[in-house]
Amino acid sequence: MMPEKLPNEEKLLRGVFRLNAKILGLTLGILLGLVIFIGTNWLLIKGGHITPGGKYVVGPHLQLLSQFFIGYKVSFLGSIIGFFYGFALGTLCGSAIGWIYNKIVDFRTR
Amino acid sequence: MLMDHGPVVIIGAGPAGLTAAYVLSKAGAQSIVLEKDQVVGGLARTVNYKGYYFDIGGHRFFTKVEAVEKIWKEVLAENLLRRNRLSRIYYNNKFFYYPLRPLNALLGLGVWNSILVFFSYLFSRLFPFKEENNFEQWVSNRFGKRLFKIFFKTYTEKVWGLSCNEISAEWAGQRVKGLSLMTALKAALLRNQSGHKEKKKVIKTLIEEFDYPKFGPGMMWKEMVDMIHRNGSQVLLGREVNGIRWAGSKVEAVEVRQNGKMELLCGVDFISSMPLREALQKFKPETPKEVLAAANDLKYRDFITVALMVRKPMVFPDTWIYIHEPEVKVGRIQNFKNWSPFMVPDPEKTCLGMEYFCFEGDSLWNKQDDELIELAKNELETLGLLNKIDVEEGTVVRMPKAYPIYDSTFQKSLDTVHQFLSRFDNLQLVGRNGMHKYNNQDHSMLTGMLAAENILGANHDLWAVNVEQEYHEEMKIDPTEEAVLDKILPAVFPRMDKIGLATAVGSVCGLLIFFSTLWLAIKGGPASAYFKLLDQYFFGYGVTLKGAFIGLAYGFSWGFLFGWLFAYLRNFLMAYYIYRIKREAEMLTFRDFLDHF
Repeated sequence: MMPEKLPNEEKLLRGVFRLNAKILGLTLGILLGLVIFIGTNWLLIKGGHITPGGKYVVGPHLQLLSQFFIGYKVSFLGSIIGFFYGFALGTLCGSAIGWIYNKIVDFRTR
Repeated sequence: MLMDHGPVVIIGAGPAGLTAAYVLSKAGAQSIVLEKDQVVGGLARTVNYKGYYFDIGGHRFFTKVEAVEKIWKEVLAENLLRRNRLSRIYYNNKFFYYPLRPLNALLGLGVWNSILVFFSYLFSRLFPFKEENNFEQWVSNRFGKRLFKIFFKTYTEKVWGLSCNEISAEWAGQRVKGLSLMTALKAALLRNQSGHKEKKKVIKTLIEEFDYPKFGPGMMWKEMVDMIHRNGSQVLLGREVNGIRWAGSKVEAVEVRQNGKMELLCGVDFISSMPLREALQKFKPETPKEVLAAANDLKYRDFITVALMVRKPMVFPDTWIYIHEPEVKVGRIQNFKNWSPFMVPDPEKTCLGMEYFCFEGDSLWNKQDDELIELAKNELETLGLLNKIDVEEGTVVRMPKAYPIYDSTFQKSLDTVHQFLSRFDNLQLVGRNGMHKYNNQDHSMLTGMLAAENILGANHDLWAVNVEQEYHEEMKIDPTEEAVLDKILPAVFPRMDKIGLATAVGSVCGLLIFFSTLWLAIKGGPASAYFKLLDQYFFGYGVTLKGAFIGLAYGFSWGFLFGWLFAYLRNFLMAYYIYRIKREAEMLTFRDFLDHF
């Protein structure tokens, strides 16, 4: 931890940047959620193709996300479900990065 | 009430001393001002020679200190004129605007010279002096050696009588030392706000214009003296203080000599604007030896003005010119008619002030007045500014101790003296020489004003008033904004821990791959085939338990590398940003460097 009595300029020059784990988590969460939401809807707008078997397929690769995000599919409802999954995963990863980073900084500046 | 205080004894009727007496008299407190000379105004006096008025150096009425501006307006009222400033550098028979304007400098120096200046600047940026021990190195590192030689070397050497490599770098740094990184950052962050843009515009206007009394600052001092007399205080001329009697923590009296007669003047409070070295030499009993030695170490640069009356209505449009030509001794030429048209008795005539920087007792100082006038005339002709036959007549004014010298030892000596003087609770030092500080007229007046207010019950620290304050004013930030920035900046700008971020990102990446792989290995499904493609980069990887561990290791390694590089680049760019801001602020404070001498 930075000693509180250090003047501001000293803090600025000698201090170590801290991450706000909550904010980093929320930011990454929103970003990842939006990527999935927009990515899914983009494929829906763009349209799919008909397979030789006569099946209409939209975004078969993105559909693979359903392997991890149960309930997700390339549809508008799926994009909302995907947003929440993306948000949850991004928040988890961002918070974890922030938390681990701050713990290491604490350890190294102790 | 205030009469019970007894008279306040003020030594010196310069800007600081007179302002102190003025403030005291307005509050009903009596004071006695003792002036050695027969004229008031000190270094800011105006000389009247056959109806020609001229200053000892020009004194712009330009301040950001509201209280001082209020006094100027109060005393001078409609006699304060708004004047345009034009001051240029004269070098190689050409005029260069000052502060420098890039296009004008480019045209003046010529294409070839400008190219050399550019490469010299580039060279200094790529290969700067590793250590900045002297003024030459300090300026060269910032502007390039060639620009230093053209625009700083000659004039600085004329002003200080020393080679630029003998002047310490700290001295140049004095101009910018008060500027903290925090201030620079705050100013830079707020610079683009509309209010600050407006403020910047106002400051620019203030620099291009200034106020000036109709007949020079002398008329203000005269008016002030009249007001002081009307309020029952006294300004006594021709009174030299020969001794300062003290005991314990009090100054008790001063010994004053007039026409060979000595008298003792007692007082309750004392304010001194007498040169610090001289003041300490006059203490009775003598000050401790180390204090006296420190006082004797304080040095001054002296000044000669040769005023020439010219039979021409216009010589040049500038208010003053800096002479950078090494062939001549003159350092600056004032055109007093351009300061105020009322400074000359006949509109068909002009009065030029040829200013020479010297040391008391050197060959220039000891020259006869006729010789100095002849030298000034010849130099005007050498410079190609005037034909010497156009000069009608001239007069000489010698001003000792015009500039306190900031040499390598002055700060230590000043600290010793300051420490000794801090024991006195009824003596305050004010003014440029009184404090051995580069106070301009406005800051000198401010010290006088604050000293008077202290006697009236306030508790100001006069040493906190300084010339850097002027620059800080330009960067003045709203206190609420400042409080917020004080809290935020130290949290935003520090370096990022590279190892910390690398480990954090590495861990998260590794774990993501580990659990994804493990999940697929347990559950199976079409995504496995795509995940398997990772083995194109992660040799040995597969969607199996073993592959999950291999993926963990690879994910950690790549994440670690990415995190480390991200933190490194972020720190590098942040450091560069801070460096640029600090440099810009330095340049801003250095902008009117020459104006202060």
